[in-house]
Amino acid sequence: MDNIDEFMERRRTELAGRTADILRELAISLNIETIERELHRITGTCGTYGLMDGSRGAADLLVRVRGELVGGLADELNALADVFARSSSSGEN
Amino acid sequence: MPVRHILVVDDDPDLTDLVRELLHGEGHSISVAPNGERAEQIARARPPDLIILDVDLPGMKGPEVCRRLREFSTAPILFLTAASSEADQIVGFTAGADDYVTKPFGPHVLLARVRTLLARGTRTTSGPKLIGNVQIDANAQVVTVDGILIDLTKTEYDVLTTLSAREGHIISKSDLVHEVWGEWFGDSHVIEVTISRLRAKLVRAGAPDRLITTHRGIGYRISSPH
Repeated sequence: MDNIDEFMERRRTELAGRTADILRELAISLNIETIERELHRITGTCGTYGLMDGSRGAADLLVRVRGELVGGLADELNALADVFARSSSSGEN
Repeated sequence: MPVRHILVVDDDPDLTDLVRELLHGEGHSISVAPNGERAEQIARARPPDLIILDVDLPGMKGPEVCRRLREFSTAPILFLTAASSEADQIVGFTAGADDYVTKPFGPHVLLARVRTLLARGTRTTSGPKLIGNVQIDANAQVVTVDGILIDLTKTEYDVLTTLSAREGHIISKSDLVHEVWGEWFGDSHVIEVTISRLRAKLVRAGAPDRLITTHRGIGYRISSPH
């Protein structure tokens, strides 16, 4: 299990940085279908890698996107990107 | 622990890399398929001991992939999904899944579920298995040909179910001995005699005489002749 913990730690920072970039691109394109698919993926995959704040944020936003309750979606996506960017730069979860 | 072949079906490389790393650490052999079509190809070419299947696949969805795999595989199927609603779980179990892990998951949890499913072995099919006109009901432990009950000894029944669990694949004589007799003390002709008696009983009842075929120097195979 030590190996898997090391593996996840190695990949976590890079995954957080990549996810922040994806979210910023989504905030520009604002394609709802892609946003929904990516938020779904981010919730599961990033959470499994231990990026819990970002995963919870993605899950909350996904519920609101599906319920069409989102105003200012670009701002919401950029705010979520900031969460992942912080994880990427600090290495924290 | 014996090396097991585990098929992971998920389109997210970050996730499959993690699962691969996790299961490699247990000494298992891992195949990865990004979609249902590829999963079916791999499972037919190299039967897995366990299948980890994402529900939200691109194209054919997880429950449909599960149903298709269940047509020829008895390997336990573990659903991996971000969906946590009761309805999604029911759909998964109805399609033939054996267990369910919700994303995000803890690696320890996934590993524990995998160990349990592998220890449990191949699943007992909920319904009878049909090969040609031969029906094998593992729950009732009865075999019928065109609906007529066949009287088999326990050894003949065990040989038939062992062959049918890998329908379409050749099972070596040594694997058959290991599965049916366990530790072997007898004459190897006993296998040939048992197969011969089993074949005769099935054919007499109306089963095709090419249902169980002998592959000299390799082993035996059961399949429905076309």
